[in-house]
Order: sequence, then structure tokens, then C-alpha cells
Amino acid sequence: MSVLPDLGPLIALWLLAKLKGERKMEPVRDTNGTLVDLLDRILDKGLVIYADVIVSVAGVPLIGVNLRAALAGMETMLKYGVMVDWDEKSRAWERDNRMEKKSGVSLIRGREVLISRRG
Amino acid sequence: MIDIDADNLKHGVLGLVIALVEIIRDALKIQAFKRMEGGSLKEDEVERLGEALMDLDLAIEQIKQEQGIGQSVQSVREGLDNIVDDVLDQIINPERWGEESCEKQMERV
Amino acid sequence: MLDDSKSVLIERPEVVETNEAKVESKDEEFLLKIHPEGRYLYCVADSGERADLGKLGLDGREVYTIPFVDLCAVVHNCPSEPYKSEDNEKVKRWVMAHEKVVEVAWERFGTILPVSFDTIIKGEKDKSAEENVKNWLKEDYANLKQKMHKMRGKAEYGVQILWDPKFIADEIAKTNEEMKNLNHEMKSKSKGMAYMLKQKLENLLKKEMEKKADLCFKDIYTKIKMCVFETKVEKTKKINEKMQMLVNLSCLVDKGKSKELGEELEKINKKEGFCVRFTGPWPPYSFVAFG
Repeated sequence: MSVLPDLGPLIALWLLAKLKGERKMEPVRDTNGTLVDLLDRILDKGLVIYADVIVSVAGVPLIGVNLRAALAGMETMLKYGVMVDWDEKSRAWERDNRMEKKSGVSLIRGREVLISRRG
Repeated sequence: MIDIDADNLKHGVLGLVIALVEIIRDALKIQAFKRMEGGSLKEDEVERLGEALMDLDLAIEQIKQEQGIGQSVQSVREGLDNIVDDVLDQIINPERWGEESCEKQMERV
Repeated sequence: MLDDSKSVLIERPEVVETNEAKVESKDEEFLLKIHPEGRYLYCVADSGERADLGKLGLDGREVYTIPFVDLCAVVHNCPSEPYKSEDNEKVKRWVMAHEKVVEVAWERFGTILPVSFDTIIKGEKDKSAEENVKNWLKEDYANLKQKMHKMRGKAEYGVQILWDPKFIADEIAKTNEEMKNLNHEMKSKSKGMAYMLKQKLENLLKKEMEKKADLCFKDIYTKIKMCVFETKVEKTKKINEKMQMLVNLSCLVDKGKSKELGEELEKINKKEGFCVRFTGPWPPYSFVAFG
């Protein structure tokens, strides 16, 4: 019976902790909820390989454009054909310019880069 | 190639057109406001400007509603925002777009 | 032109489970006959081991490592053509497979430098893809070692802080004197004048919100920076109609030390009108790119 008064403060503390709720946020990773976060990293980031022997080059919208657009709700634009041409043009530019990359980028072509490179 | 049919003509091309009209309208609003703040307008001029802009707002909303292109217009404007963002990003961060990697390649050689 | 002796050292056909995979593997075999082979790159790992990770790769390809001294590239064999598809579900499967391989390598080798999706090292007439991989590891060795050292024992977390612009705007409108006066003035004016005054009010609100956003950003950024090893500011994105993103950070944190960060974020998340998205742990994609 003499144990009961000692439990009192403990119970009070426990109740207080419960009422205050979670003391910290936990990081989340799940297949669908954080797919956009995964895509942001896996499609745009990562080690950059400084070598001539790369087939895919960062910055070129070769893949994932449709998937990202769909996730971002930009389906409307792709659906009605607004974006398709841009995509095609930037791929064509990339093909044409891959050989020239080694010799450096001129200012004029640099301007072209700004306009035609659309991810 | 863009395949043109009635539906995507409406959403694609009309969406673009109305998005552009909205952007011009926004620019008009800014100019009108500047003039008003600058004190160069009389009260009745401000009144007329305000009414005209109000009518323009209503007209645009009406077209969007009647044609059902509200979402398309929003998508176009967001798309344009993203493009502008990317262009700025290329200026601020050229390495991310592959150009500095060429120069670095040259340095190594 | 292709030299036959170089172009086709393909391993035995994969054990396929579905018809689709069967067709794909036949296509790939055909492609491998006409294109020189490539190595699809997943990441670089902190190990000199020649290891087999199993058929975890894209389209069930066999994943293994190509070592150089005490580092290795985690790869699978493929034609030297980028992976392309219009089918979103297929792309999603590829992306998930890529990430799975990276995670497995991370678990197995302890530290890795992840590579972007769809990075393929090609083979050429005089140099095989395998040689090109080794040459690249050799030439970039010092840089890779340095990065590996930095990433050891760390993980990346994503932190995004959003606020409800309507809620914040209401708060500002309640306390800002100039705005309250304007609101009052508007009521007694004619239509056109009232419209112009409304513009003035909206501009004022916009300015005040930008000021507040700036203050919040600086405050949050400072607090978070103190809990983590390194931060990288990312572009804010549009998530939904209701909430606006104020802060988007990638944080490099010692593995298992994300507690302090979690506590700080909980404080922010509790504030009315604010919401925090805390994701991770991710392989350190954002911290291995340059430099």
C-alpha cells in the first residue's frame, strides 16, 4: 500500500509526455509518398562523370520527362502537344552538339543552350 | 509535330493565348498602379482605369469558364514559370547544365 | 565498323519470368550485336572487392562490381544506348530498380557515391566498356577518394518547409496598420477607385509576405544549419494549391544523428500555418556532384 504514493509522480510524468505528443519528427521514405523526392535526386543529381565515354548526359531530357510531368500535374501541357516539340528539339540539339562539346562552348551557342535546352 | 484537333486546339493554343493575355493584363495593372501612385492621374482617370481593368478581369474569367480552359491556362503559366526558372538557373549554375564539365575536361587535358 | 570479336561477349541469356521480359532480353541481345557493349553505372563504392550483387538491376540484369584498387564501380552490362521509354510504369520500375541497387550497395559496402539514373559508360572500337570504366576510376581516383572520405558515415535528408499563404496573409492583415486603413478607405469609394485601391492593398500584402518569408527562411536555415554537417539550398517547388514552399534543403547528416534535426523540425511543424516534409535517409545524391 505504501507503494502507491510513489507511483503518483511517475504516472503524472507519463501522462504529461503523452499529452505533449511526439517530441521529434521522423524522416519518411515510402514508394509513392516520396517518389517525387526520389526522382529529384536520381534524375538530376549524383556523381558527375567527366569522361568522353558517357552515353547519357545530365541536363538532357532523355527520360523521365513524362513521369515527372505526370507527377507534377503538367499532364495537360504534354497531353495537348505543347511540350513535345521542345523535347524533340533539345534532343536534336544535344545530338548535334555532342561532338562539339570537346572544343568548348562559344558564347553564341551558349545562348542557344539557354533557349533550346528545356528539361 | 503537333496533331491539331478541335480539343487540343482549344486547350493547347487557346490556353497559350489566354495565358499571354493574362500576363499582358498583369503588366497593364502594374503600369496603371505606378501612374496612380506617381500622382500623375486625376481622380476620374483613376476611376476609368480601375473600371476598365475590372472589365478586363471579368472578360478573361468568362472566356476561361466558357471554354473550360482554366486548368490549361494555369498549366501554361506554371510551365512558363519553370522555364524562366531554368534559364536563370543556367546562368547562375552553368555546371549543373554540363558546360563547366567541358571546360574542366579541357583543363585535365 | 564493328569488330565482331569485340562486340558480343554477352553472358548466357537471363532466366526470364514474363513474356515482356523475354522480348526485352531478345531486343537487348540484338542491340548488343549491333552496338558495342556498355556498362550501366549505379554508383561507386568504398571497396576493392569484385562482387556479385545478383539480378537486381534494370530489367533483372545481373549487377556486379568493377574494382580499381580500393574502389569499385557498381554496374550491369547493357547496350551502349540510353534506356528510353514512353511508358511511365516502366520508367518507374527502372528508377525503383536503380535505387534498390544503390541501397543494397550502400548496405553492403558502407559508403557509396551515387550516380544519376541512366548513366552508361560505352565501349569503343579500341577500348571495351570495362576498360573505360577502369580508366575513369583511375583518372578520377583522387577526387573519388576525397568524396568517399567526406560521405563516410553520413546520409542525406530532405527538409521542406511549407506555409499556408492564406493563413499567413490573414495574420498580416489583422496586424498591419496601413492595410487596415486601406481596407476601411475602400469601402466608401466608387467602383473603379475601389479596384485600384484593392491593387494597392494586394501589392502591400505581397510585399509584407515576402518580407516575412525572407525572415522565416533565414531563421529556419540558421537553426537547421546548426543541427547538420552540411546543407544545400534547393529550388522551391509547387506541391499543391493550398501550401507554398518556403524552404527546400538537402542536409548531410551523420547517420543516426538525425535526432537533433528531427527535434528542431518538430518545433517548426507545430507552429500554426506551417508544415514540414522530412524525408530520408537518402544516399548523398546532392553532395557528390561537383568540386
